[in-house]
Amino acid sequence: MLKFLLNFIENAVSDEAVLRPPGAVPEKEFLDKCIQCNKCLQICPYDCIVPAGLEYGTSYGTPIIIARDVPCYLCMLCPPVCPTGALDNDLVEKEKVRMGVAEINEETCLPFSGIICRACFENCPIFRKAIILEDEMYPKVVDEHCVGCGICEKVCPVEGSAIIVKSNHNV
Amino acid sequence: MFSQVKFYRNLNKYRKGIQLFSLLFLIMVPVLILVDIRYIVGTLYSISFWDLDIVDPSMVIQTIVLSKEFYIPLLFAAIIPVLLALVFGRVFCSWMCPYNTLLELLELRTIKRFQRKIFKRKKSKNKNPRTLIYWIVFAAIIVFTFLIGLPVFTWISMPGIISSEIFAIVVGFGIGIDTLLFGAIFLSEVVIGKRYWCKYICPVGATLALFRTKYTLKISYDESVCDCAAYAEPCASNCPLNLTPKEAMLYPYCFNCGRCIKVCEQTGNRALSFAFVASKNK
Repeated sequence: MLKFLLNFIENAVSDEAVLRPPGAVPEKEFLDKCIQCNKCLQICPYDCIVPAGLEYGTSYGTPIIIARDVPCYLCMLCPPVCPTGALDNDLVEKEKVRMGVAEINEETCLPFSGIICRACFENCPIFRKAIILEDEMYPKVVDEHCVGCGICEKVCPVEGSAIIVKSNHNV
Repeated sequence: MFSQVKFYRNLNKYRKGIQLFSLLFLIMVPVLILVDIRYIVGTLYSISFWDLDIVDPSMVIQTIVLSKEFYIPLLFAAIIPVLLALVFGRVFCSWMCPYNTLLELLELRTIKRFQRKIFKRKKSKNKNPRTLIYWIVFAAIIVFTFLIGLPVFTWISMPGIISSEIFAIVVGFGIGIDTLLFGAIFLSEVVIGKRYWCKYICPVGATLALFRTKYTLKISYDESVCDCAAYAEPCASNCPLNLTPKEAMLYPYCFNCGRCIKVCEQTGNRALSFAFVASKNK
């Protein structure tokens, strides 16, 4: 009964997956393991990790990344500090991070309407691998290389961003 | 030279000093983070000094109950608090926990007088509750955590809430719902005034109380020199948890703050003392 109620509340408040810090284990396991000790928030030199607000329901207080505000710059300082293994302690290579996959909205993306823009391509930390240019013009996300850091989402000049990282953290 | 008399007389001063230091330390950590010095990170859920990890043992229990697996580095990180509890008992609660520090402010005479006036509270005789109650409540919290599959320990751990809210306020995340919960429980303590949270509910203290052996630091009572009992019980009336140190079943409730020993020393009887091995009378 109580579980049903909690599930109901959870479904009512959060239907979209959130970006977790790099190295996060799958969402269910992550919520079991995270003790909200705030160490990942505190070690992050860019202050990109913030505690989830009340709108996230029962995952209130757990660390999330809002890429449009401050994306993850993949300094890889937070995975080793996690005491419970909610973030994979052994993760050091930024190429192996899988926070999500960026998706380009071709309707608002500038090159698709004829304006030259290389903001996401030039700023991608997995340079020339995760975002490639087709015909030297149109950006394209390569799913198997994209780490989901959200830097492209941050630098996109389009209002509301034409490239948005979809978290794969609801598995 | 170490003088036992002097030590017991000043016991409360030492304790207050450590309490104040712990509270300032919790404010210092986020302030250092604001100026980008990130060597000591964490809250009272878990804190790191450089590469040394320390985890609240109750969080270890929660993680094991929820994730159903044993994460080895997590178990290692709990060693220091567990050793501290094995040797000195629940001194974390009485000497460091910020919640206890704040609650001791309630014992100021003006507040006590105010409480008596408003709530018409009578002074009642102290009694040691049955040990079983303590463990039943703790087991109930563990079972509840297991059933709903949510981090209940995290939500109701007062030292953790206070330290992470200090961080949130200093850094500028603002006041969260945890602060409201803390405020509600704190206010209820003002109204009820029985220290029920530390005494019965707090899972942090209960976890530390698990690690108790025959040789853990305890309050030892020597009946033969106890003299002031007939007309007053300064030890009992000074106990923050309303316990009587002279009777059995003091543990797991007592958290070794040593205030009864201090007042006993002041009466000159010296019937109470800290000891690792219990005296015959107890």
